[in-house]
Amino acid sequence: MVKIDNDRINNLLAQARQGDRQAFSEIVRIMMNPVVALTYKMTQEKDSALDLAQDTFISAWENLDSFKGESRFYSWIYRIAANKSLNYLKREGRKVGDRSLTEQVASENPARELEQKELKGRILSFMSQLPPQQRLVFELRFYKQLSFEEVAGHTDKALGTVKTLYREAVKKLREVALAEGWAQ
Amino acid sequence: MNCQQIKDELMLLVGSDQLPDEIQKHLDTCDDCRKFWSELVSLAESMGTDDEFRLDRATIEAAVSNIDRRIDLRELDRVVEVGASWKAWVPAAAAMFLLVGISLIVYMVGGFGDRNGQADLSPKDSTWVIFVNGELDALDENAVAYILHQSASYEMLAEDLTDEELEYLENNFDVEDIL
Repeated sequence: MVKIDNDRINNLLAQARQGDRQAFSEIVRIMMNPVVALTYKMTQEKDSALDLAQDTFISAWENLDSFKGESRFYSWIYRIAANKSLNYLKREGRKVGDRSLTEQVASENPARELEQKELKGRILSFMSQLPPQQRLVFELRFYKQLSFEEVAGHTDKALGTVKTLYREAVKKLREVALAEGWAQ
Repeated sequence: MNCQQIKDELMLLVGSDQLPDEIQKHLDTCDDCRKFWSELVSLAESMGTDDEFRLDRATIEAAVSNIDRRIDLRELDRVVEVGASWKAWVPAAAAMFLLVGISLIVYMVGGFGDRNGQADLSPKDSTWVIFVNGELDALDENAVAYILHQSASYEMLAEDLTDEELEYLENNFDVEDIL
């Protein structure tokens, strides 16, 4: 579950809109992890995930004027990242890439690191069961905690469609979890 | 709501901290739905959080630098594009400047041979005179070209011209001299 200080983001955003690149860099620092989490779970490729995250922020910088504040800023960033990820999947075809991003996780505790790697592997395994659109809806709702209305807005889908996609995703994940013995 | 409706709702609530009262009450009295919800909670726990995808500081800083550099490059590209579009006009402007300069010289030279203050309307010079005076538009050009090139002796019958051409010539030139 992502926790982002919206007030801090808004302050930095106001400065970035004035052309303050350092303020924008600070936004990147704050949001890089959740954005990479999204692009990585969508693509399951380390390099592509980092590239897409960077592309996301560059697009955000270039289109700051078009952000009208109708949604939360971080939610707007997720939308850009989601579109870039979907376009990437469309372009490259669905494939599960390397999962070596887990190796970059900072941890001074090897046991904890191993546990994290295991959990990440499991998450990616779960996510790879879902078609891109379901994956995206699940990512935005479950991990990013956006409301269904926001997810619908970001994916240009009807609210009912988004709920159906989420329900289908959960149903599929539950079946996999039960089969794998992860959810008792 | 029946059990299936409750389960449909529960699937939408995966990841939520709180259940609506109506659903909670149903779970309190229905073992099957409670077990279903318990499985979903377990599933949600297995899904971890975004915190599991934490990059180290060095990777983030490298990404920040890379983004900075790419934005710089893009902005530089944009400046170059603007510069390039400005430069694209330089040859055209130079050509125009040259043309006007030459026209001016020809006009001045032609002016020495004036007859009663009028430019000498030999085929070459008359074209330049008209041009320098800023009077040559598409219609004019057609009219003059017609006169100069269709008639080797510069004698032209008025009926060979269109009304527009004739009117233009009458308004702007001593037609007698041309025809």
